[in-house]
Amino acid sequence: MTLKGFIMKQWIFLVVLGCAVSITAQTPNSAVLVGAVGTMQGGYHLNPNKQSDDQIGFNELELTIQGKVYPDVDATLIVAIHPEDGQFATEVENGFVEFSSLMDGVGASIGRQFVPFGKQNKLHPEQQAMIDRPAVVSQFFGAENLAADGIALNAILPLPFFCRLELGHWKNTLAGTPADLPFSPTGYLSTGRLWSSVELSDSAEAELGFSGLQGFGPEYATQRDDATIIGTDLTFRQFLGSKSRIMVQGELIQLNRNVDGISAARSGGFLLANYRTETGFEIGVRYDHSERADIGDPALDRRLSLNLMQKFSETYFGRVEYIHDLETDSPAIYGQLVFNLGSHTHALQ
Amino acid sequence: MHFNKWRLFAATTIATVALAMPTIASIRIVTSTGDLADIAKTIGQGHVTVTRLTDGRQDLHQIEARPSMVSKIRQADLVVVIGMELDGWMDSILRTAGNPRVMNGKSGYLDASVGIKKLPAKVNPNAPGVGDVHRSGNPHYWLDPLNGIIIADEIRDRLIQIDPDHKSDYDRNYTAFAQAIRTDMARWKASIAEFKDVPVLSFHSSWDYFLKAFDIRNAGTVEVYPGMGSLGVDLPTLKTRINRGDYAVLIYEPAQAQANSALFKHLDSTRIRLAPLIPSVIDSSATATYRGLIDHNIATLKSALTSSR
Repeated sequence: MTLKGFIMKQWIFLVVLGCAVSITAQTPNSAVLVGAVGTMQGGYHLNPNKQSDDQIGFNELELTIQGKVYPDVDATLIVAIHPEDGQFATEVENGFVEFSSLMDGVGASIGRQFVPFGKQNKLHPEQQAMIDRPAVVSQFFGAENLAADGIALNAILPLPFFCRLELGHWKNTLAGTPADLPFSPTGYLSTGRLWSSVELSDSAEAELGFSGLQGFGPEYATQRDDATIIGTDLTFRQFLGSKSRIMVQGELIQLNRNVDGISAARSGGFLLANYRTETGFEIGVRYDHSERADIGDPALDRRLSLNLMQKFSETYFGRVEYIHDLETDSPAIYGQLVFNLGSHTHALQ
Repeated sequence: MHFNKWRLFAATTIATVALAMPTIASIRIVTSTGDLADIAKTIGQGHVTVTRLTDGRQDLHQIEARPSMVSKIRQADLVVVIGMELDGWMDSILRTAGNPRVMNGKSGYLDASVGIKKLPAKVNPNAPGVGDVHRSGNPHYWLDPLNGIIIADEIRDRLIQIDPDHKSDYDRNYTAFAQAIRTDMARWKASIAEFKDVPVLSFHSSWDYFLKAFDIRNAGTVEVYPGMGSLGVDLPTLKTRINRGDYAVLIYEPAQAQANSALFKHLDSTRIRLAPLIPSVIDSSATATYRGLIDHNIATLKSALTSSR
């Protein structure tokens, strides 16, 4: 690729990088948060037939600019750059304005963002409990987080415990429509999420959520391809000391598709247990069980994963994950280093 | 009989309303730490209900925000935070809660660090970005009791803005608190004045304000990189300096000893005296209040200083 071609292809990245450097230089206080999250990742398959999927190197860089643009109004821009087909692809992963308090307890966000469904889809890679996303999430929402352009309204319900309702309407222009891509909800999407939580004690909390999505499958442009997804999630956290805690999380999701008159229901879920010690070391285990979203392929995706993570500092951690594909009896080992330069925040999930 | 039932109903209703009145009328304060909670309780006593979101046993850098915290913020009339990037996790809770009374910039939001004369945060000159990064300075300012008075003053001013009808009560409570701290301060200082030249080492830089407040010689920190424990610590050099008398007492927090047990095991065999101090209010008998916390820490430090002789 010529230098001109490279610059044209990476213009968003270069513009954001330039803005970030400029803003940082001009605002030494914390009025504008500028940050970068980098992920280095490698994977090694113990099954010789799968070793063509082995990889090591740069996985993703997220550049973040955040700040208050008006009282109670925050703007967030996240540009992601990641390898694709031997080159680097750049995309605006999130770009939205968030109104924290339109009315008492009512907020809204407008722009491109991760679609609120369940506990997993809104998490950025550095927030995830493990290197890979649960199988059911990858099968029903796509290989990457489902991001879409739209508007979401949220309200904290006037109840004696935490209960938040979020309704959204979106257009997913990122997934594309070729039939050979993994399934991902596409086109106009409507979402709803009810998220509740009860404080069991000063150091324990349980969360229960229900989510729904109505939209289309990837073939909707050429034929009928309706998709409806419903899910429920449960999270329990017990805080034990200065840093240590136990977390148990599970999620069940069902996808209903109707492709050209043929209906199919697919379901899946995961169960995750994670323990963090006082030294910032984490050990986690997850069982995944999910049917594939393809209408003609009801095959299963079952995995058992063991994750070890060490947080070296507030801004730097590494983890190793052993994943055993139970369907093909193929084990693989993944490693990941994540660094965080500057600062950024994410909404409470 | 019928008449009596109505009288009973009316009396019950009046009693219920009367009992509920103080609760309805009281200002609901939510603080990120127990220290701020105790000071707020002292200044607003009789007119406030105070909830803290963390306990002194927790590492404020590592708090995982929880939805139940959002519910508490939803009800609040005043939120008080430490600021200086120490309790930055409060931002996402405040945004999620969407309570217009306590959003940053409103009278119901108080960053208690605003009036504080800040000490610089420790950075490793060879790796300034490594470890806990606090661009606004060292955030452990509440451990200087005179800063406790500044915090109380800010809370008093904010309570008067929100509830001017009880201004005289808040003024009186503040004056009493400030006077009590000044009296305690003289006592605390006198109790350890004879040790002012004893070199005291801190595990983390959380005690800079405390040592400065009591004119104790601050001999630095064990940590090479702030917030990263024993990483990079040159143990033989540390031991040599202890044996040479460069450091007589080490002050640390119990969780730091637990997380760096190997290093502390080595220190057991040296001449250094260990003083486990409590960095923030914990609901236990000795350190359940702000003044009790400082009192406990001074007594523990004095005991270590005495045995170092």
